[in-house]
Order: sequence, then C-alpha cells, then structure tokens
Amino acid sequence: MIEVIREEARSGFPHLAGARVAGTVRVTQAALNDALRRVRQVPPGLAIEVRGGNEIGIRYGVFQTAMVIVEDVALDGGAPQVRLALSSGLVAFGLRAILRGPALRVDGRYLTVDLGALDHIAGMRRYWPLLRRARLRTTPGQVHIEFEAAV
Amino acid sequence: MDEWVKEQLARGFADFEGTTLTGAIPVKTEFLNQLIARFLAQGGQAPSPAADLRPLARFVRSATVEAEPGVIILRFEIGV
Repeated sequence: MIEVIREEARSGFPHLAGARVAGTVRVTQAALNDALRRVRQVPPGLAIEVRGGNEIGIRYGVFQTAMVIVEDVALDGGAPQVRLALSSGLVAFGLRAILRGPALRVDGRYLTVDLGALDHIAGMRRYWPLLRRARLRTTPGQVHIEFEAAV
Repeated sequence: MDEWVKEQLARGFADFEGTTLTGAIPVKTEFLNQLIARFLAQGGQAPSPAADLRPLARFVRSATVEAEPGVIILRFEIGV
C-alpha cells in the first residue's frame, strides 16, 4: 500500500491531478537555527536572527552582518532559489570565503540559497516542480513562508 | 531532515504556531481502488506509519469529502 503511494509520488501524482494546497507556514528562529546546524553546507557555528521587515542577522564567530530577504522566491520550474541582499561588497567577499558547495553562492551583493542543491532536503526534489508561488516575509523571531502548490 | 521533522512532531509543532494551510485534493477512484486492492491483498492490514500522526489531528480545522464522477475530492483546513 505504501509502495502504491510512493509510486504515485515518483510519477508526479497523476491520480491527484487538479490538487491544490496553499497556505502560510510560520517557523521560529529557534527551529530554523536547529535546522541550519544539520546542513552540511552551512559552516558550524553560524546562526541567524530573524528581525522584522525581512531582515536577517547573521552571526559566525566574531563576524556579524545583516541581510534582507527578497520577498518573491524564484521558482523557474525547478527548486526554489531564495535570494538575500547583502549589506556590502565586503560582506559578500567574506561570505565567499566561508561558504561551501553549490547550494550557497554569492553573486554581486546577493546570496542565493538553492534549495535543490541542499543534501539535507534532497527528498523534497520531486515536490519542487509542484510549487506555483512562494514568498517570504519576516516578523521578529519568525519567518512566514506563503506558498501555493498544485498538481 | 527526517530527524528534524520527527523532533518537531514530538514537540507538537510548537515552533510553527500560526501556520495555516488549505487544500483540495481530487483523488481518482482508479487510484483508490488500487489502494483497496493492495489493502485486501495484505490481509486487511493497514501499514504502520513511520511516526505516530495522531497528535496532528488537533490541527485539522475542517475536512470534508465530495464525490464526483470518477473522483473523490478531499477538502481540508489546517491551523497550528
């Protein structure tokens, strides 16, 4: 029975055509930092502080900076790409030196997080094409993920 | 990721307070019949879920089903 459901997922849910799910997932800063600690591509000791107005504080040892999340998440039919505007070119230079792997990359003054390249959530790959829209907003201590998905 | 989700589940998704989801899932009867056939072939034994999902029931605000030719539509609202 589980195998029938797994096969349905592997095939892109052909028997669930027309399904739609939408909503807002709110996640606390504590849960996000707990998740980040488990991601191989994130340097150990890096922590975030979620502020209002889409601002995220980053702390890594003595290094501290702030970034602003770009509200609309780029989908382009594949995995979501979350973009964060960095506060300066110097910060971009510093981040390039500590980030590892293709999941996190710095282009100009933007940090792009490619969720499709994170091993930690590799199991989500088959679901990313179902996403139709995703937006990120923050309030102090909480990230709000607004999304629509459809089969 | 699985471990993180299990830990959140064990904590009653306290770090997800304020989350809301709505959905409508049309399930083709052909697929339901496949599930029923597999269920019967296994002697009527439902598979054990990987985790105890019963605590999640309190987050379901509403759930209804409608039947249309060839499809059962499940509509739901979830709030944490």
